Amino acid sequence: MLIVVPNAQAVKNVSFQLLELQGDYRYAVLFFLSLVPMVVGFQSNQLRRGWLLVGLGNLMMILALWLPAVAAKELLANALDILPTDTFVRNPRVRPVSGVAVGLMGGYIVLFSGLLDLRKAGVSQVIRFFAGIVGFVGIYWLFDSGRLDAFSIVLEYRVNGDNLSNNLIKQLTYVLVSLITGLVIGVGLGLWASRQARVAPIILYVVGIIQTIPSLALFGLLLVPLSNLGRQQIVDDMLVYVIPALIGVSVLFVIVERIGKRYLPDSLHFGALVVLGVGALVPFFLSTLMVISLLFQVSLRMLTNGTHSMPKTIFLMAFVGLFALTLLGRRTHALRRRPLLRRRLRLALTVAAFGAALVTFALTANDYLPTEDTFSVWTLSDIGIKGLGETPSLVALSLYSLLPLVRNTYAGLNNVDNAIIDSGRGMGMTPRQIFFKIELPLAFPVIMAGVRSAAIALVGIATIAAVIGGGALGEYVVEGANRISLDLILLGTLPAILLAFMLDAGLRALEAFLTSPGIRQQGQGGL
Amino acid sequence: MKKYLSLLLAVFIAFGAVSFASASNAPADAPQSLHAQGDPIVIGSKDFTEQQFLGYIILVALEANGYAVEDQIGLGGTAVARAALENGEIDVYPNYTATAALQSLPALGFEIDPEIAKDAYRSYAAVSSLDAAYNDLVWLEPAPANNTYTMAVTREFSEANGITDFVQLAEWINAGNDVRLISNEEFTTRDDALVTFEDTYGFEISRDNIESLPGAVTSSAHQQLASGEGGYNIAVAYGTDGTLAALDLVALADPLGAQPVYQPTPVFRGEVLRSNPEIADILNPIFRTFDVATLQEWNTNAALGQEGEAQSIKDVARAYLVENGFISE
Repeated sequence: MLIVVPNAQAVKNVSFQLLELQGDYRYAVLFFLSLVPMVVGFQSNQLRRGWLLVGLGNLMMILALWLPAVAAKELLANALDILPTDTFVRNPRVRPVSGVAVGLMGGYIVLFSGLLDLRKAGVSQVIRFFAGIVGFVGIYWLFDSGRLDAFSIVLEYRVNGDNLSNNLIKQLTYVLVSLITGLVIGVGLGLWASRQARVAPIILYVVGIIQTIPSLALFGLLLVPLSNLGRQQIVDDMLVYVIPALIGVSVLFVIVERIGKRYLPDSLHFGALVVLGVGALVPFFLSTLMVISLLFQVSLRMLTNGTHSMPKTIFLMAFVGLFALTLLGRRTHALRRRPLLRRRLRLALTVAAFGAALVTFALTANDYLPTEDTFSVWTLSDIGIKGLGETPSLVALSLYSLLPLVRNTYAGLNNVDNAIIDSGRGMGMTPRQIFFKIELPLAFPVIMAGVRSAAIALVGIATIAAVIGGGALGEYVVEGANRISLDLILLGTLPAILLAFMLDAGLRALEAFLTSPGIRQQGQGGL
Repeated sequence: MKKYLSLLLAVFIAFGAVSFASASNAPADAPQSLHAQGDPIVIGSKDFTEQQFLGYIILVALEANGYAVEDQIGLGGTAVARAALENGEIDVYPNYTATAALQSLPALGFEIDPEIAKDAYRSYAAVSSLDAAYNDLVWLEPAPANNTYTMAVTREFSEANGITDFVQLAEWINAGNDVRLISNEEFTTRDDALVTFEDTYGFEISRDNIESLPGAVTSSAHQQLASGEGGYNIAVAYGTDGTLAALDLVALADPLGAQPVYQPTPVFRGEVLRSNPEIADILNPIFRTFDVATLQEWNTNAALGQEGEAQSIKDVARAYLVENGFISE
């Protein structure tokens, strides 16, 4: 179905069923085409059926977009005659709705079942990969050549989307930086909670409360203090205070923890720990703020600037090489027969990738950070700490990521069977060995589940950054919501959904890669 | 043979992916200026169409005159934008006289008589002198337009019942006709909005007949009204709303002056204007051209694009400045 909309904000519109369009039999063709897979389903030769279905699936996906786009162009050309005379027509557009989506999905299902057949028939993975992406390449070509321009969301992309890729990267950077921050703090807190039964309810309670603070209120609260903070000089005001405070608090903490346990009465010891913990919050918060702000600024520049292409290329080559190696390693005789070569190759590629990433980061940081003589005049706002923009967004996002991370770390570590720990102790393992060889590997899948749910949630929450001038995909969503422009909202939403899927897949792959082999077999039926 | 083929393919994919990625990387924006290259002028605004349009007017005009600018247009609401301006996070944003008089300045402890806010001249004098003296904020010349609260009806309704202002609306309501108002929360709850209209013109809309949408946005109310769903016959509106024309709605006139005057005015941090005094000469002539009709027309353009060309708000602002000869292409 297609809807002709008279302008970007209108509610009155005229909708068309594709099959209703007069004198246009192409859609009937598409309709009958969608019936063909059922007929083909009776074909018993798996290989032939597979190829037929793949071809049909690709064709359906392309046509499901292309034919309506052709019709949409014709409709737009006659928009003034189609729309009722009392509507305000200004830059009319055509919004593809359910039918087009169903067509795309149907095509994808047919394609997928074809690919399944091909796999059963023993066609190599590489060939299947190429057979599978033909439709998507076709759609990209349609989009790139301007054949889909009549669709409202494509129109919106052409008008407002010149910053889309940068905004997507910014959204990703938000998620990753706040996820890393949340991970360090959250896993630490979860660990603490699982070690000290008395602290656990306090930590879980506080983290739960944080989750309920509305982000707008948080932004309002942060604006003034962050703004004042941004005017402080780094060298004179901050380093002099933060670093000694941080060291002092940590030393005190260790002293109280180690010595207090032995000499102080239990309740006093606990009280002292809590007081220290609260006292440590301020310098801890400040230093975290400086670190994440700097991390974000440098990563964003690293990802969006065109400089340092050499290490970037190496990184990408190595990364794609790793991917290809994993993909093909199991299939290729040359590699399968020589596991040592494979392992070395993988090691080399990993080192190259991480090395290149580090080098890029260092080079970008070097561009960004001041030279020695200007360093003394830098204020915190120069490393990105401001009342508006990225810092408040990062603080909010990091805080919101804490709950799933703390909870899952705590639950994962707490649910490790005591019998296993005891048997480890019986074998003479030190506490450190027990933690790294028993508890952590066993809790790992649960922790990773927390990381994944935090990451997905963050992709959604990060759109709120636009409210405080933090940019990213929220720019489209918030502006679209204010203007009731459905197409603009979609322009921000679709990439966000895509990003969430990709992040989830990436984190799953990482999880599979890092999970210890013994557990992997047990947990195969699980999440 | 097959094994080498797959390896070759892998290399091929890797190479393709890399060249694709570096190609898409190449046109990325130039490295952002890092520090000490002259601080850019940070331009902010609130997050509805007129604010964004005026924000981009300031941004494009200053950019065309050779200033380095930074875009913070579209901040969430008066609270965020005003606090950002007071704390130096942004250097300028278009304020409204009555918003400052009735909301921002009272929040800082300055009470201003609501009657003053209804007079364009006295209201501007009060807010600009207070801001200059206590907050070091400088109000440039206000635009003549008044973006005040009003109510809107569909053109059909207006023609069928002969209603174009609040006096006629009050007569129609008092004649016992069924009125259904689609409003937003601010309009219903603020002391200076719906209540003032009711008191001034002597009508009353039962609160059971009002549906309040959250926040201060009006376009969703207009959509409801225009769609005819829900049986509404009046909606909340701002005087210069771009959606009015787009949805063919009529804003009711306020002949008795029930409402305070909301004149949009660029408000700068004093520091910025002192080091760049010529900014006033650039922006004052531009804002002088914004009367109600012009702003209504161009808010529509900002929301929908100009006739025949869908555009972003920034492009619409540039088009306005070019069309009126303030900047060259």
